[in-house]
Amino acid sequence: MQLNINGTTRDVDAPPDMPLLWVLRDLVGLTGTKFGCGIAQCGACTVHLDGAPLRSCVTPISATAGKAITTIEGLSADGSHPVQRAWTELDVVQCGYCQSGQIMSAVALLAAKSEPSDADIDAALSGNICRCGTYQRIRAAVHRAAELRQGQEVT
Amino acid sequence: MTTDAHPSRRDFLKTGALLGGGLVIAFVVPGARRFAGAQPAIRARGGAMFAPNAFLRVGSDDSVTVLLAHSEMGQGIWTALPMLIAEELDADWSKIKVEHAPAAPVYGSPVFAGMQITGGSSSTWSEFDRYRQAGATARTLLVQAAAERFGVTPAAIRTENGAAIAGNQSVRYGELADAAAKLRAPKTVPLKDPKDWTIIGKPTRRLDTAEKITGRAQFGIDVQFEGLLTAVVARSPVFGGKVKSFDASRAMAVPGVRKVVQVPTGIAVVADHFWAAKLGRDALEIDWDLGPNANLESTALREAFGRLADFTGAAAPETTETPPVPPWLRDIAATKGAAAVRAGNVARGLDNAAKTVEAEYAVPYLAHAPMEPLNCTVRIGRGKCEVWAGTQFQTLDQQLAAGITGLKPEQVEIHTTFLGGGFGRRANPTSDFVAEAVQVAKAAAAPVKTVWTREDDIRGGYYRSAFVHRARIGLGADGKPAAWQHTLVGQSIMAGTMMEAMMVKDGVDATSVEGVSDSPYLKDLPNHRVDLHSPQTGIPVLWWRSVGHTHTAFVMESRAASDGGGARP
Ligand code: FES
Repeated sequence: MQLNINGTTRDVDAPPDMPLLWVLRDLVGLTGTKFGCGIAQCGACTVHLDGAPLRSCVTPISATAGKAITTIEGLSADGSHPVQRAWTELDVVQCGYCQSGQIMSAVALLAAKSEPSDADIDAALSGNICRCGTYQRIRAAVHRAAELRQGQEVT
Repeated sequence: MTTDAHPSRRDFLKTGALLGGGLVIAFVVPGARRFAGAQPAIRARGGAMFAPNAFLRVGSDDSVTVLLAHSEMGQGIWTALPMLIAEELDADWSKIKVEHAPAAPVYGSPVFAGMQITGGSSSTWSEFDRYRQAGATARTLLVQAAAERFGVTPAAIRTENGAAIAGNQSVRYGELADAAAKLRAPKTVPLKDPKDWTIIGKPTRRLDTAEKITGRAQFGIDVQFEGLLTAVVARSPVFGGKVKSFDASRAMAVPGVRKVVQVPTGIAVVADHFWAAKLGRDALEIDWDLGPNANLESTALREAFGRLADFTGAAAPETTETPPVPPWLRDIAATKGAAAVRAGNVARGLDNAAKTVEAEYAVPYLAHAPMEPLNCTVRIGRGKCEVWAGTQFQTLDQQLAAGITGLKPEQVEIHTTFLGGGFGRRANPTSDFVAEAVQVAKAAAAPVKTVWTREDDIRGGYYRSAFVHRARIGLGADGKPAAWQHTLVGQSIMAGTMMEAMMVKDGVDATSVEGVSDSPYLKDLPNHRVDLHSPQTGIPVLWWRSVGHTHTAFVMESRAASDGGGARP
């Protein structure tokens, strides 16, 4: 089956009901997308499907056919995406395990709403658990990313 | 402030020979000298390398690589420990690289009996001297090399930003690395006066951010290499249960499943990838002997703990259960209490109180639930076993892997990855997730990454113990506490471990009562006492970040809030 991952077409040999998460991690080798719970409760596995956030751990690859999959690796080659820059400026990460998912959810939020309120951020990211408790910095960084984004071409 | 950091000639030669060519030296720093014979080989990765000791290397490309004796699990030592070295070295912060150290005695913790372990919120304070000394030793040698190059005395050299400077001459550390490697380390090295610190104590951005926001950071679960298989293990649904028999035929029929092997903890399904292994595990048919804890259940445990809380002092309470009582419940009921604190006469204090309040708090067993489920990768080769894990306890991992594979500890190489959270779970007295993964790789005769599902992780034990607190507090006429009787009931995390002798005194595990026995709310009360019952159950318990304070702070602050003003709860 063919998947479009980060702008590249990949042929994968996997059953159609195999979750996208494990295809990405174990077959394609993109390990930036994380396994946290396997039941769409923690958000660590968040990727984009045609720009919309999606829990890859419960998404069979058959549901992704013909659509564009974006993972954390596809956001920027060098951490220069406004959300990544904001995360750097505000030193958001701790253990870092949840952060791929946090960032992918934040990017999707900003694409839909360029100046989100605290409530917007809380609502959009409430499905992303951070066991280290970086929530305050995540919220501040989303605001900062919104500013950085305005200063450049909208991505 | 000076320190002795003089390597023996033997160490110098030994290490030079290990590295071939003598460009690299490595010696142990004070406090770890007794482990000198087990100095790890430090491999030079291209180009000349000056390794003044086991904690840093200066490359001819000006890089300064700091080796972490502790594991980065979110607490920030990937940045904090390099800051200590960079401060004394006057390093160029932009040239700092960081690696987890291999498992070796030289990296033993100064405060955990030489064991390589990350815990007790100790990494920064316990390494504060050792890492600064490492940086200062390297600087001293580089200064000496610069002095020889410039034909001046070392006193004429100043250092800044990764360079040695004399007058208008300047040389980068990388250019001095070769020459410095040939010098003998001084007997003592001066450390900076804290008022001269330019890095320590200054806000500094994390060094691990770039990797962690791009998906490049390698956690244990991300380890991949050619030929690596993935296992998911079926473990007993009850603690202490054993496999009676199993049928693997349906599991083997799952595409991608390669092998099904029995290990001491259960049945491992080994497959090409996680998903096949998980489906295979789901398809296993296992007949379990559930063992003595078959009927263990939370409600009865809670009630049994509550009954113990009725008893103060050392007397074993009488069993009030009507037979038949399951053995585990009988054991709990027979638990003897122990006195943690005695001050004055609490009974009299309570009698004389204007008012007494009584309260009970119960907290449940608590899983650590690190964001990254437990996992460990093992490759066993000829005379060598490699382990990749986000681990907090390299010393025990190495010993257990050696025991299981029949190798010597130094033949076991531990590659510590980033930890997707630890909270104590990744250091435990049996290194359960590492030992099991070694068993799986051995039984499968293949390199295997054993991955726990989230459900496995939550059910897998090593919890913060459930606790029941019962307090009777006598209030004075002013409404403030005047007498305090406090009884705790909960499992000891130290009993039966190598730390028991150190941490359990007269039946009291200090970590069970910390936050109550030493509470500032109690210390000035003339009459107070704290009792502890430590029932044993079949449930494995463990330190859980902040340990006793996870329950005692909750209880004491709640009491203080409600009693401090004399209000009833
Ligand atoms: S940074 Fe550790 S779970 Fe979020």
